[in-house]
Amino acid sequence: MKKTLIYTLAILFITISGCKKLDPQLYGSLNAATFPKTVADFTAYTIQAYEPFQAKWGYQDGAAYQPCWFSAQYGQIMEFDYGTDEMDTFTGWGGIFTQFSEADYTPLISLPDANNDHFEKTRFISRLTQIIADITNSSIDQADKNEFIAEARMSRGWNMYYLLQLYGPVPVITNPALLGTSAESNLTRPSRADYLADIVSDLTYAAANLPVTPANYGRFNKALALTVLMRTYMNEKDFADAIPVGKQIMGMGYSLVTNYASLFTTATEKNSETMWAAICSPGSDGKPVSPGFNPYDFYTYPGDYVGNEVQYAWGYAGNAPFAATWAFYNSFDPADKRRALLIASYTNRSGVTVNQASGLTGPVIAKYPDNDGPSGSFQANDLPQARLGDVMLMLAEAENQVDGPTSESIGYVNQVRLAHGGLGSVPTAATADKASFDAWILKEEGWDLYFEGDRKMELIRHGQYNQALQSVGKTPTNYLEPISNYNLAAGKGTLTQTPGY
Amino acid sequence: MRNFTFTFHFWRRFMFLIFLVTGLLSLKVHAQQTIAVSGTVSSKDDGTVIPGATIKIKNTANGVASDVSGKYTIHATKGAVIVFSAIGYEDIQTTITGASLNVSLATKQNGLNEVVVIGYGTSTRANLTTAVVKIDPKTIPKDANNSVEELLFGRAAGLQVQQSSTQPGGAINLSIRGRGAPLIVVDGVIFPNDGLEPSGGSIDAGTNGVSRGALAGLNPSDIESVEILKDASAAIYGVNAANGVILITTKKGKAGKININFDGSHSVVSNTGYLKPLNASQYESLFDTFQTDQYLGANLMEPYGPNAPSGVPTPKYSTEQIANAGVGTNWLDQIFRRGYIDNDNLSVNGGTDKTTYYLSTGYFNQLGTIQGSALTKYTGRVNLSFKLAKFVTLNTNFTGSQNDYQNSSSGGQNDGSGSQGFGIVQAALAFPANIPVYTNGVLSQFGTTSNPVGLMQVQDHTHYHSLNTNISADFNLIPGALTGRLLFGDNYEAATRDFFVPGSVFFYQQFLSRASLNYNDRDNQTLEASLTYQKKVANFLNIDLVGGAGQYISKYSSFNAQGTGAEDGLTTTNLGAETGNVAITSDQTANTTRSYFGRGTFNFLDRYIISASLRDDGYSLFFPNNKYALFPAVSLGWKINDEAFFKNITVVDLLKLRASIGITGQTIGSAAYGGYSPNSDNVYLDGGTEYVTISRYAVDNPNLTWQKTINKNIGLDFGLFKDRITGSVDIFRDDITNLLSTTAPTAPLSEFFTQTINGAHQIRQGYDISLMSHNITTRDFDWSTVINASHYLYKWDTQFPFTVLQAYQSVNDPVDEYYYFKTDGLLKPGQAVPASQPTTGGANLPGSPIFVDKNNDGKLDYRDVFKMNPDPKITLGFGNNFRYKQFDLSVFFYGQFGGHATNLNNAWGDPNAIASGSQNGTTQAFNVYSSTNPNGTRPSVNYVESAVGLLVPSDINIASTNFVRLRNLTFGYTLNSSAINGFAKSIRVFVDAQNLFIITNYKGADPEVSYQNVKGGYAPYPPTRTLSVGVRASF
Repeated sequence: MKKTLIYTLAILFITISGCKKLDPQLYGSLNAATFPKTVADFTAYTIQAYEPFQAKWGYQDGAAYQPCWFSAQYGQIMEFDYGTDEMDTFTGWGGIFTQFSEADYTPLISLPDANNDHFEKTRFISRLTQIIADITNSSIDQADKNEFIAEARMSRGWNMYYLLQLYGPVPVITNPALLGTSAESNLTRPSRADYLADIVSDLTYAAANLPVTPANYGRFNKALALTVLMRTYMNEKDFADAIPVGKQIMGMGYSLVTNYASLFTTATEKNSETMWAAICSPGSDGKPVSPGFNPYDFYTYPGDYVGNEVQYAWGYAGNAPFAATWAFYNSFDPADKRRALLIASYTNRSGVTVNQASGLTGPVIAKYPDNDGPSGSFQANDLPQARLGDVMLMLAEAENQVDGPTSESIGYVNQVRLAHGGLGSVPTAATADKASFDAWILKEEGWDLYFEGDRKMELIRHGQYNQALQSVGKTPTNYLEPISNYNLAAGKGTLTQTPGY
Repeated sequence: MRNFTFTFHFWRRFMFLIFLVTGLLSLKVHAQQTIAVSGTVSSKDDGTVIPGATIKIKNTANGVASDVSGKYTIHATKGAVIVFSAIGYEDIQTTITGASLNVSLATKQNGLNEVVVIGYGTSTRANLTTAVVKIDPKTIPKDANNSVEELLFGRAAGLQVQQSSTQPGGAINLSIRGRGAPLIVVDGVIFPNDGLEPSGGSIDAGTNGVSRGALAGLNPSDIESVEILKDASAAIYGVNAANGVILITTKKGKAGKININFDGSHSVVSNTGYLKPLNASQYESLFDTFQTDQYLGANLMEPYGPNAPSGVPTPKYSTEQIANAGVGTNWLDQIFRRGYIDNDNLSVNGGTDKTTYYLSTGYFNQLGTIQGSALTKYTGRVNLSFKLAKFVTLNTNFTGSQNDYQNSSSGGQNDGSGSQGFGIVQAALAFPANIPVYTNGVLSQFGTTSNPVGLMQVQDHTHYHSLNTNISADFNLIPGALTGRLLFGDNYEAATRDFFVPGSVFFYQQFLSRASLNYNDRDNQTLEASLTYQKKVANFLNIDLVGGAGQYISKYSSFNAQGTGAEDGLTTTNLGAETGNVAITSDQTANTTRSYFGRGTFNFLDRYIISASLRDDGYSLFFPNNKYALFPAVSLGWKINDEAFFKNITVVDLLKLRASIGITGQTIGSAAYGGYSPNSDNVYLDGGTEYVTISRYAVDNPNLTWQKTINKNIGLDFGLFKDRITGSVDIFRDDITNLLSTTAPTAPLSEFFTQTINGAHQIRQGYDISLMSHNITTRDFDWSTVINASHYLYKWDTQFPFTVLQAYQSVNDPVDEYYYFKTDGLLKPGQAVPASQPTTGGANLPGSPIFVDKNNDGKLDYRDVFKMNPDPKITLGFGNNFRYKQFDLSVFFYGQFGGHATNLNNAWGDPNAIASGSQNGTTQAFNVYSSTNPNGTRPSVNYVESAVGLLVPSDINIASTNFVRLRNLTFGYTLNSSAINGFAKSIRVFVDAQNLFIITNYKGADPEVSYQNVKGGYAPYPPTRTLSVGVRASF
């Protein structure tokens, strides 16, 4: 008995001791040997290119929380509209609301880490470069390859476009051979020409290879690629190159809508003018796992404003975080139907009329009406990012810059005024010469494109940034943003601070 | 269940009354004569009988010993004094008054021969060569406690115990020498060191206020001892022992007559100091002041500028309104309540030389001090031991537990939302007092913040159960020398969280029903075989060898389903009926470690002791060439007092110098294997169709290997004056090398923000001191004192390769270092603004803090940054036990000094938040500088630190965390009369106060409770005070 026992013990011991092999159990993980291989794999793998181009609170990129370009906070409205003549300063919440609305970008130097720092999207460029290389090296059909690569390059070009507007040229890796090498530690800024060449190359490839009408509404399309390419040229004042791109878009069959408000209403968000929009879905909370959402009413309605579906917004009584300036409101022709989306007077929850005289700090921006529900929740109005009205005004601006006010360029502006504003032609005085017409086009761009995340670039390329800010009591300092101390330190001397900081 | 509780209580109180009456009756006077006195000797702490105790008549040679059932009979005269003594117990002297005399002996604290569990064996305090502290839970009041961790506050030098949340079953973080969560081993089986709690799903809007503690399946009453391996002694548990090891030993059956023990207590729980909200007129008055001051500041009017005030807008509330507002609604009173705890435990043990048993059952019922928070816990335990043959003993041990939690949304919103995501306590602090609970019969609304009374209708329950199986066989292979042991242990835990918000409640800015059902479970298995050889091989040499192998498997899985918009009546019963936000998530992980270990202890001449151990560990998630690593350790002990030259120094009973060095290892949850996985940032196209995004999360890292900590420790153990004074002093240093991190930084243009690597090196050093003194020991009166103190410093030696250090940071800074700008009072009107003062965010206006320009260069930059290590300089535990005849009193304090923290309670007194109309505010707002309070000490409403754009925060919210807490004040009386002794071995009644008071300068809630930085402000579960009445009886 005792012997048997000792033997049993010994066997047990040897059994445990003998198997030194310890295989890893990796659940729910795909490894490099098996993924990505098929078209379905690349569909799931490439779609991450869309992450920065959604309308959510943000997205989680590894350990860092990044705002989307269309997020309500740190997104296009805050970055490019808030600190301009169109929107009022707001100090009630402090922090980024004060900073961005006052166009003071200096505090961004002290961002403590990668969270909310757009500069970190330079890593996303590396990721897209890796994705493009993986698609290129795969064995799927060439046609599929081209479309996947076009989507990834659209994302890379557009991200680089936005980064350029924020910081000037930033270090990026577009050559896959440099990934995983010491080049990842070199933060030397490229020349503006080199950086632009990369953007143009990506967007040109995307425009050539993206479908006009993709199978899924919401995927990048040809008109979007062309529009962003045109904006790139415009902002560089390369008007000669912008014109053919604009003309190409004009020939794609889009047409202006005659009801301006319908562009921003859920029911009519798919229309003849909108070429691409960030999709918002009803009932979404805007978290990473959820679809895009439109939270703007919560930012634009004062606390005592009673909307249709949004009856309690986050603003204070008579003072919402996002409001227009009275100067901007007053610049409209009162007959302009586009002004109707700015509310200058309303009856508050207590039945009292609120307006400029009673202390309303700025007109309520009601560009995204809360007509479609759900009640009390974020709304589902898509956010147009490329639409024909914008392209026509840019085209008018470019042609005027090259040839002066021509009947063609004046015609573009008049078409937009008529269709969107219900207005007559541009006053003749405004088309007297190149400078007058350029000044008028800037106003027209404001009236048509306000609260669409484009104003800062318009002001800069028209050379009106400083004057425009001063006209509403803001102090213009530097329209570019600083690199955070955190990233300067990470560059170990290779990264230069944005000029002026 | 209610009926059961009722009758159970009734029975308990009835018995208590009977004991009291019979006790009083027995106080009779007897004439002097020789009588036969008999009774039972038992342990005071757990009621087990003590065989072999010596019973002697004082000053005579007459004595007897107790039998196997603890019984004795001795002949003595009335009035004589009898001395009861037993190894490991304190002596007791009693005067004979009758024929029946039962005594219960208290366990001797820190006795030299006290057995100490050291992992795969035991030692004694006299022979220990490493830094091991033993905590005896039997001496700690357990009446209001549902978890083992609660017993450990301040009880051991070098063990930091921090209350993360005071909610019922809330997390308590354990840390040995500041290292973080230690390895926990219960009867040889590895247990998880964190709580198991499913989240409420993403539809809970981040109001998930639950922070659950580990070891939820154990009953504190079942614990025999807790040992803490602080130094290289942990190396015998190489697998994940880098943070030290806590060994928990549960109670077992003992041979002898049946023993029945009952503990019962009832406690009243009340909230101690909490944030004080403004009342209605205070709120209205401060709101007006702050709004006016914002106008004055913006227009540079007095006192904020040179201009005379003009055009000041009419304040929102008139003087008359303010005067009539009165107290208004105290929203905290609406949601706080008085809680109670019922804690009843019954255990039965006994056995023969063939079979022993220990059976226990526990019932713990707590009503939390916030509406909607509660815990009901049932535990059951069976321990059976069979001697199958002369050389085989089979031990079985099963513990089952069921915990039903009701969760309240205390704490803070964890999804980054604002006031719309406030939980119940936050909402109660945010709702202004001038708003009634109901307006026109419906719950009042205040912006997008949920009404606190409405939030009481949120149904959030967690049902947790666990089953712990522990089966072992002991083999006596060579009697008296070689033994073997096979152990299989499995700890299975599962929890289901049921979360439901009715559509009738305004929650997260909507009237929308929300439901989620969330499940997770985990399984931790230990399989070990070991052999032990103990022999006195020569006159001068004792050896103790142990060797073995083990495998440890850990598995986890979770599943959540959620949705919104279904009919309220359906609650969480039919998630298929939800109309929106329908989502399913799941997760599964597993890993295995395998170990081969051995240890040899050699004791020469009972004077020089050397012990060496070696462990070879493998982890499945490392690459093959790095899977296994060796963890050696060696320790030495020198009992100086046994040396010849020490023979004449009789006051010293023990003087032992010991030293240890060893390596412990740590793995990490994440693997060395890279791959691709859905990253949960899904993309939606086609107006809402979901496209799963699969992204690469890491590349393979074949070099990833074990983190290795080199533990060094030098200690001195001593015992003086016949063990009247005993103690230990230890100094230590840990070198954490190959530091493992899943979140180590990467090259700045890498597509990954973080990577899993071994890289940095950290150092932790400090000391621990324990002292125990029997100040007075007489027949009627005892007084003993315990003191423990500890300190550690935790700093970097080498940082990770891509760590970015700011100009104000140094490579060797403490790991927890604070960086801040020092401020020196507030700017006064007319005072010259220093050149270095920032100009943004109102920082150059009167009422803003004056920033200290450290180097006087007229600029505020990185050169002006101050540093501070916020860790406490010293943590202390201080206890006193008194006994006068049958009365006993124990007082236990603990505290810490020299520590700091950012006091996030200040967010609730922020004048900006009050002026913005988004919240009520607390009375701390009275300290704010304003036009009406020129002597205020807190910055004015015009100073907005978040808009100043500071490189590092100012020090305005850094506060000292010094405190001293009276953890327990216990007063007991042990009944002793022949009437009782006839049927009971011992009966003790007691009252206990837990957290009676805390002495601290920390404002707001409690310096010990954890906080998070959330929008609006964090509102932790309130700290509580517990008053208990109870009885402990053994039969």
